[in-house]
Parts: sequence; C-alpha cells; structure tokens
Amino acid sequence: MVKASNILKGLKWGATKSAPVLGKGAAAASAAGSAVQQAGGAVAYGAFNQVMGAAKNLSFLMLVLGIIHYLIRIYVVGLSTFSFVFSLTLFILAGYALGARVEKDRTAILIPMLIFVVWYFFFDGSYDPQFLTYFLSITAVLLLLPGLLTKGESVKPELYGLLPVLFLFLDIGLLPFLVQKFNLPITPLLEGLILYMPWWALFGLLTLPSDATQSGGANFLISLMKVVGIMYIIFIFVAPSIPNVGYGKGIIPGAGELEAAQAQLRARLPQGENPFLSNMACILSGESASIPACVEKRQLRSQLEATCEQREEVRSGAYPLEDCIADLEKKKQEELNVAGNVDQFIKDVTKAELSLGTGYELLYRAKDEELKTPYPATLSIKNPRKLPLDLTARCEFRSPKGDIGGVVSWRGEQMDSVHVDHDEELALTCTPAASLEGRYALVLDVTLGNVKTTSALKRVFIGAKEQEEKTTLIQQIMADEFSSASDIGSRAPAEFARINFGFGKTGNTPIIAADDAVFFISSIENVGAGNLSAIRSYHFTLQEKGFTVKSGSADCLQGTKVYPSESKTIPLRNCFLELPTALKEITHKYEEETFFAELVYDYTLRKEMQVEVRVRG
Amino acid sequence: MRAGSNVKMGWKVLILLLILTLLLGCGGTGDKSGTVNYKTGIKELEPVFEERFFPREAYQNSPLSLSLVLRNNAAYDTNNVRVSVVGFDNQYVLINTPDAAIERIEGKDMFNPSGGQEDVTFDANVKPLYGGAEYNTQNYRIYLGYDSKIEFAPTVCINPSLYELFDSGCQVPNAPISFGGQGGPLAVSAMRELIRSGYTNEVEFRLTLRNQGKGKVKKVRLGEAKIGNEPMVCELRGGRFITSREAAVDPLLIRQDMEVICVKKLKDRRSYLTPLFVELFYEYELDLRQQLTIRK
Repeated sequence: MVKASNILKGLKWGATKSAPVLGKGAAAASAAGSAVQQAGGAVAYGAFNQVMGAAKNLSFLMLVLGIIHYLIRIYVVGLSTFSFVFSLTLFILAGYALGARVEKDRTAILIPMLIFVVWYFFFDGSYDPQFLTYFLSITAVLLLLPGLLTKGESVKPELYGLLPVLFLFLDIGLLPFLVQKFNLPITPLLEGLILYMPWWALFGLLTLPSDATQSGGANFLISLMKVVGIMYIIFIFVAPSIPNVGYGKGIIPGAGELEAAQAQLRARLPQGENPFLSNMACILSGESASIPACVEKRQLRSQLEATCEQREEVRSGAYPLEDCIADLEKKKQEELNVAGNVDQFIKDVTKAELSLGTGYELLYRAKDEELKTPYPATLSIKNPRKLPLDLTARCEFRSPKGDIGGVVSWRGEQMDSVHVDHDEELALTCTPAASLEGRYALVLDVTLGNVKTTSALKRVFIGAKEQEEKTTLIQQIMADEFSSASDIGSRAPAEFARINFGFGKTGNTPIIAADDAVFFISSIENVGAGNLSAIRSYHFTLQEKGFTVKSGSADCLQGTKVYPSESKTIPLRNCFLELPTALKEITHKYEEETFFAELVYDYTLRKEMQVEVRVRG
Repeated sequence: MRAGSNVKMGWKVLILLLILTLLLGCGGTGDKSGTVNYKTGIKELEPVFEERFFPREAYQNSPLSLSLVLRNNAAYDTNNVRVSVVGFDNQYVLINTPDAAIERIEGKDMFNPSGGQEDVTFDANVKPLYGGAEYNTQNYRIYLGYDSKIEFAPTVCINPSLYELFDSGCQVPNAPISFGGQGGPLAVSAMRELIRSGYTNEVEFRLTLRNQGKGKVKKVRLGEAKIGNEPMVCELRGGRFITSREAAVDPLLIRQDMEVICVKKLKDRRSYLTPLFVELFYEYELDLRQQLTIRK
C-alpha cells in the first residue's frame, strides 16, 4: 500500500537536501534549489498521483469484472470452463492491481503468484514430502533473495502476492469440492461462502484507495463499502465454523474439477436470499434478541418463495404465491418436527388424499321434506407397490344439539369396506341417517387398513481389529458411508407412519466391532396428517440375518401388541443383541449390511366441513 | 562469383549436415536396455482401472464384472499379492469372491523392461434397488497388499584414518547423503557414515528408511547386509519392535521413518571404496476408494 506520508517525508527530505545556503550564490542556489524542490515535489506528487490513479483504476476494474464474473457464474449455466479461465484472468489482474498499489519492487508480487502457478499446474499440486523439501527450499531462496537484495523492501510486496493466490483458490470452488469429494456436511456457513461471495469483486473493493474519486461523499461510500465488505466476511463467519477436513492424505483437486464441483453444488443447494441480507434485515428490524431464528425463518421463506416461483401454476396465476408458500411452510414444518429420516430416493411411496365435495355447504329443505342429501367426497390413492389395502369409512354430522350418524357409500353402493391394490380414485358419499336442520360439522373418517411401510438402516461390521487399525478403519468408513448425520439413522419413504430404529454400542453407533455390546432401540412415528388407528405388526430382518436377543425384551425384533396413542412417537421394546458369527469373525476389513423394518398398520384420514341445512316455510 | 557462391553454399550445407548429425546423435535411440538401472526412483505395483472393464455404473438385477490390471513398475518382484474388494452393501451388491491372490508379479529388469502384469476380475451380482429408488451409490474400496523388497547398494568409502593427510584414497562424507529411491515404494532416503577410530576401528552406517509410495508399509524386515563381501550386523530402529531385524509400522502414521543401523569392525587402516549392500523386505498395502452407481 502506498503511504502518502512516506511521499511527503520524501518531499521534505528532498527540500532540505536540495537547498544548501552558501554565501553569495545562496540566493541563486536557493532559487535553483527552490525550483528543484518544486520540480522534485511535483514529480513525486505526480508519481504518487499516477500510482494512486493506476491503483484506483485497476481496483475499479477488478470490482466490475468481479461482479460480471459472479453474475455469469450464478445465472449462466454450463460455462464452467469459461468461468475458470475468467478466474485465472482476474488472478493475473489482481496481481497487477496489487502491484499498482505498491510504490517499490512491484514485480516482487509476482514471485509468490508464479511459484503457486508452477507448483499447482506444473507439479500438479504435489504434496510429496521429498518433493516439498526441495520445492520449498527453492521457494524460500526465491523469496528471500529479493528481500536481501532490496534490504527487506520486497518482503511486503511478496506477502501481497499471496492474496491473489488465496482469492483464486476461494473463488474457483475449493469449498464445494471439499464438500462433494469428501462429503462434508453442508452448514449454513458453507452455503453462504459457496453461493454468495463474489470474491474478485470483493478483492477489487478492498484494494480501492481511500480517495478513489474526487467526491468526498463517494469516497466515504467506498470506505463504508470496504468496511461492509469486511463485515460481510465476519458475519458469514459467525455461523458454525467450516467443518473439519480430517479425512484424507491429500486433498488437492484439479482446477477444472473445482469449477465443475461448484457448478454442481450450486445446482443442488436450495436458492434463496443472500444470508448477509437476511442478517442485515433481522438486525434492522429490531429482532436483535433472536437473530439466528429470524435469519433461519427468512432463509426458509426465501427458499420456499424460490421453489414456488418455479411452479407453472404459480407463474400462470392459478395458484397464489402466498398460498403456495404457506402450504410448503406447513409441509416443511411437519418434516422438521419429526424425528428420523425420510429416504428421498424412494419413489414408490403410498399416498392417499381425501377431499370433501364443495357446493354442499348450505342446503335448503321444506318443512315437511325429508332431505337426506348424500355429501360427496373423493379418495385418491397412489399405490405403486400394489399393497392390498382395505378401506373403511365412517361419517357423522356433529352439532351441539346432538350428533346424527351418516351412512357411507362407495361408488354408490353401501359397503363395509373396499379392497384396493393399485392406484385408485374412489367416489364416496356420506348420507345423513336423519333429516338435518341447522349447522353441523360433517366429519368423514377413512381408514386405510393393512398399510405397509418399510424402513432401512445401514450398519458396518469390522470384526476384531487392533486398536490402531480400528481407528484408521473407523475414520475411513465414516467418510465413505456415514458422511452425513442422516446416514446413521434409519430411513423410510415419506408415507403415513414409519419405524425408526438403530443398533450399535449406543443404539446410534453405525460401526460395530466384534466385542461391542449391541444395544437395539426402536419406535413408531406418525409422520402423516392423520391418525395411527391400529398397529397390526412390526418386524425387523435382524433375526433372519442371525441376530439373537441376548437380554431385554424377548420380542424386541418383532411383535403385534402395540397400542397406538395420541402421541406422535410410540416407543417399542429395546434389548441387547448377540451378533451372528458371520459378522463377528470377519476376515476382510469390514462388512456392510442394510437391515429392514416392516410396519403394518391402519391409518385414518379425516376431513371435516361445516354444513348447514335451512328449513323454509 | 558463381563458383564463389557455390563454395559458400557448400559450406552452408556442410555446416547444416554437421548440425543435423549432432542433433541426431545426441537424440539417441532410446534403446539403452543394457545400461538402464531400474533400481532407482520411487516405483511400485500399480492398479490400473480402465473404464470399460471397471465400470462406475451398473443396473439393478444384472451381473457385474470388475476387472483391473496390476502393473509392477518397481524393480523387484512382488510376492503374495492380495487384492480385496471391500465395502459393498450386501443388500445391493453381492460379490462372489471378494478376495484374489497372485503368487508373484515380476518386477522390471533388463529381461522384462516393462515389468510384470496380471489381470484380476471380481464377479458380482447387482440386486434390485429397494423401494423403487431411481439409483443408489455404493462407496467401496480396493485393497492391494503385497510383499516385496528393496536393495540398497551404493559404493561407500571406508577410511579409518580420519586425520591422515597423505592418504590418497577416498573421503568419508561429513554429512548425510540423500538418495532418490531404489526402485520401490520404500526407499533409503539418506545414509550417514560414521567412523569410530580407536582401539578397534569400526564403521557405522545409518540408513533412513522412508515410505515414498502411495500406500502404507506394514512391516519391514532386514535381509542380507554386507560390506564388500563380508556380512554386517544391522538392526532396525523405529516402528513397533518385533525383533532387532523386524519391525511393524504404526497404522496411524502413514509416513513413519525408520532407521537401519549397520556396524562393521574394520581391520585395515587404509581407505578404500567398497560396495555396501543392504536388503530390506517389506509388507505393503494400498487402498483405493471407488464408487458404483446402481441404476434402475
């Protein structure tokens, strides 16, 4: 950074030196000296202006190009190679921009940049210790030599040269590559860093001189933006810190891979509001006591808004945006409230939707007319696994004066139940047993009998290993198989209810050694909108794989007598298990197995509607 | 004039021919099998995965064949080669035989300059995807283990009379000498020679052993060690002690240096150059992370 004070000091020194007073010629010398002084001052000041002007122009250029680069990367798909080349160009420009800010020994900035380029592209980022010994020794010589020759003045420019290197790596997607290659869990911090940081634009902003323009107001704004830029980084860093990268020997990816990984990760992560803007909005709204909750709420809403805006029905105006957001919010909230995991990969999901017909909310009848109008309803069933479902229904009309029962008909016929083993749209009606007069709540319950939901759980068995080998193996397995927290628990499709289960040293320890005491736990969770009306049976496939109950409840691996409750979660019996010999005496490194739990149950969906029958005459 | 220009042209052609001859001559034929020393550098047994023989994608309910080539780029035979496929979820992929063993894969030498090569195939069955899932990704690893050796055979200077000014023999280096490998993944990276003069003269060689390959050294064992034609007493230092001539490497430390210390009593007071020979056997293991995507 150019120090104006140094320039001014130079001016003073030059003035003193150039004005010796020696008798007769003193006046002339003084005048000459004065002229020299003025000329020297003008030259120095001109040089200073030039330096600052050049620095300013380049920083502005970096800022603008950084923004363009960022916009291309966010909004234009399929240009990862172009984006990478653009990054490299900005890298070189960054070095040049920094050089413009240094008055002396500018070329020293290029030394660390060149060293990095040689190491990364020519030596493939090798981290071999022997190679590094030689390379770092040569690097040290190359860095120290200019310092010695310039008496330490090139040290600062050399350190500056590391900044473009740092920004290049941050920009071309080091973080998303670490996430994808090493399956690191994505935290809100990573999301912010990956998606919302225009690194080169920030670089341009931070390198702008403080008096970049003639206008005091504009300069103040630039200084403010610099501070805001730094605060931006700090705000992003107040979230949980970057996940630990302790999973492999070497993590140097190819630059092309970095760029492609960033593009892939952007596509995967939900779109929404810039976390920095969320933070600022929450602070300005006065919700300082609960900023994290406010930010999370805003982030969720912006993600839902982005999702809804992509829907055709919202774009066409048929489905109001606010309704869409409200529906998704409700769904998300339900998902957030439940324990256990939904398996997003499973597409064969059994679904049912019950709806009451409209237009029957207000009916009229004559005084002596017996009006038993059938109230229509529709039950839509998606049954991709062709489960043999038994459907029963009941309805009634409830009012403070007294309830009136209803008779349900399926497809116009009075039937106790309907059997369905494929996708089906069923029309049913509820006919009041007596004439209605007044206001009632029509309550229709449809029970799906014999629904089957299967949960899956992955576990790895390492047999008997020595402690050190066990430690290394556990690290490896966690990185390969359980990189995300949701991999450790059981998973089930997003149906009505499911079994959550786990077993291991603590029930949730996914890697089991031969000498571990294996604890088994499970529960049934209602994850749908209706009621778990009956649990017919549950069964775990551990028995077929040779597991036996060592102690605890003898029927922990299967059962029938479970009484549903109002509670969303019903705990099942737990026990300690004995490992089968095949999973105890493992000759290889480890064995991986998936276990299943099958839950057979009845599920009741309810729909209610306010109806009124008015009597005339 | 014409004759003069012809002479000039001739000189030009001659110079051009000389340059061409020099270039061609300096280029060489590349065929130096008779003089190539394979026992240098860092080289090892490498698995080669070709996309068409080692697929990264498979379909449910179908057979799967994973074939890889083991190419020995080292200068020594690899014995007791063991290859294992580990990590497939048995619910999705059932490997018929997850282990393969090869007795020996030859190393590079002048009779076999490209080194030995063996194909290994694992057959498996891909089971149906559960729950109608569109795809499932399986992470697994290929473990490659083998036994091999390296030979460290530099020429060293023995000079018991350190302070003799008029000995026209060789000089013992004051500092450790670095080496770039002996054609295997395990290498003697440095050697230090110490002469102890006194009532009995003896020479001590301290060799630094370092794992420079892509895998892990599991065990090291000393083989033959001699100076000139005479045996030397050597012992291994570092690692987990098994015997004085055998040690295991801590599994948590991938790059743990070990040391070989060899001592020999000297009879002669003259200085002389002589070959040193140390043979080291080791067990090596490499693991490679792989991925298979099973599609509907």
